[in-house]
Amino acid sequence: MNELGTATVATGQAQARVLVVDDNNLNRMKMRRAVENLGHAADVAEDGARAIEMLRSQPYDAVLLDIVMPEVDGFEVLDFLKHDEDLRDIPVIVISSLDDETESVVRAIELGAEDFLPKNFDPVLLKARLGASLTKKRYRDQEREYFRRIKRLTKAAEVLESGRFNPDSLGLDDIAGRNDPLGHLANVFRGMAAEIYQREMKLERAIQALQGSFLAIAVGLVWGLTPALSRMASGAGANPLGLAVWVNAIAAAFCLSVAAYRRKLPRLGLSEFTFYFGWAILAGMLQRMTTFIVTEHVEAAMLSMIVTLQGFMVFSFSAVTGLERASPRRLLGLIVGLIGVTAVLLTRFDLAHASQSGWLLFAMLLPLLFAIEALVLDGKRPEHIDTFASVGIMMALSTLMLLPIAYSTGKLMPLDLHVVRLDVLVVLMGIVGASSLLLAFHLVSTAGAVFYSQSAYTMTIAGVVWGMLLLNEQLSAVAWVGFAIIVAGMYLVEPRAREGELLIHRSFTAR
Amino acid sequence: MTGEVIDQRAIARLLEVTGGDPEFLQEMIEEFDNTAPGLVESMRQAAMAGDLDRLRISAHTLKSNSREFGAFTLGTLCETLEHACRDGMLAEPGTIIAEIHREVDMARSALAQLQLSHE
Repeated sequence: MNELGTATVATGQAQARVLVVDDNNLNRMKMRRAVENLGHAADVAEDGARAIEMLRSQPYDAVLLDIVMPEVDGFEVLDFLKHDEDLRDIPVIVISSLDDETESVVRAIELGAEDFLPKNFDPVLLKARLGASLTKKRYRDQEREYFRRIKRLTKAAEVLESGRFNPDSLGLDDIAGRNDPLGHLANVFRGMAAEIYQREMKLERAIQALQGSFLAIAVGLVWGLTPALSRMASGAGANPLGLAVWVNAIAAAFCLSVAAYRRKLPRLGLSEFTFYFGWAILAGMLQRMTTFIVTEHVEAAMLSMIVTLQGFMVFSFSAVTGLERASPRRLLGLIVGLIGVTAVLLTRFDLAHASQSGWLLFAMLLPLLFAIEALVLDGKRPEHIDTFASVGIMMALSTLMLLPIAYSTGKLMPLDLHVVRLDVLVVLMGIVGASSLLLAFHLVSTAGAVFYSQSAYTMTIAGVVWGMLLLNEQLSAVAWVGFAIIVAGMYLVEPRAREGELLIHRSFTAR
Repeated sequence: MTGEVIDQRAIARLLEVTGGDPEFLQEMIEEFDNTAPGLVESMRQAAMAGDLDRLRISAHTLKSNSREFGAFTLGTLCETLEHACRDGMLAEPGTIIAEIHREVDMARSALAQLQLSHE
């Protein structure tokens, strides 16, 4: 409470806004002038309805009220005021000719009028009664304000208890801005909440980055198995198109079975079907066809490098559209990752030989298609549909698309149970394909398209690692350094921050 | 009797309440002068229409205004009419309204003279 405020309350002399309600113009003239002579501001209302309207729309410190009025009389105005939570504390002084309206005055006081004045009042009496009413009103206002602020602080404590420590959620800004004990309390309260919130946010982000990185590595490891398995399958007599049909069919069967077992098979609306159809064309047809053509003309190591451009494409698109945060730090992370991949590939391949010019340009179609897929998955996926069901439906649709082509060109090899090794390989590839898509789908939805696109790096690396494990190839120390650089890049890129406020788990209860 | 149509003490009190400004007092007298005949006319119409509520309010307003200027005889007549309306005991409104009319005219001319004495 500031000293100035206390002083004005004590004397009741500060200028107040008074509403004069009387149907008699002569009385309104007199009362307005009398109130203004005491140094207050006066408004007039010529009937009860108008008075209620003005009281609703503007703040008044006191009302001088005539009782006998046509239509809405003084009692009704009083009744309205005393039944309104915000207006009930405005003091009402009833103006009445005492000689014949004693009953009215008694009734008005019972209804909550603060005081009364006879019509032919002495100016000193008006000054005394209005002054006393205004003083009480100011104390009540301060009291109300005080309790309102206490209530807000209590409310803020409840917000904290529910685990919401974001200072913006506490709604204490105006209270904390005041230079009094409650303001100081609010300030301490808010400051401590802010500190805890910042700390928890940092922790949360670190955990998210770690989870995202593990997931990206897992996507890469699983996906990276595919080239090695493909090579083994080719060795066992499979052709790429026929292999794709079988692998997709098995992946679809696997995913849909899991979804069915979990009772999560969805009913598809037109818009959802359109999404899966588009995704199947993108992932099942376009990406696969492009891969077939490109692998025949571009060296594998060079292709791995080109595919990693995906991250930069997603990043540029996100930066242009504002879909995700596009900071220099994230761009730097992508570049660091690219350096890591280059380091690993340099240890294994002679890039100087890679001069296929025109085909290199065509090969860039592949990361572009991957980038589009990441962005579409991030922005358009039907979020209510189960991950397994989503991947299963897409795989099933792409199988249905590839099947007629494979069949008509005679590429659909029969799966002969006697050729045991190929069958096992195909089933393995189906499950690997499904798993990698499931992981990818999950990663896009939790960490965002930009972070997800880094799985292109881990995929390339994993290809190398699996080649080393399955085909007994050697790996130099430089390659290991390259891996470390890629992980550093991931740290820089950071997964997309989760939307909404972070809820903090609390271990103590106040009650 | 004519000298007591208005009470000078009431005028002095009114002047004091409104801050001692003769010009404002003059404005209030003009307001009375302008509205009082209308109130009497309103009473007459209300009496003819049998609208007791309107008659009561008009009598109440004129009572209040006349007492403001110390026209107590007029005020008492208005009070009588007001109470009669309130209690539903009104037999001959025409008679009392005619009396009120007369008193209003006397009060107006007395107030007009008062205005002269101020100048």
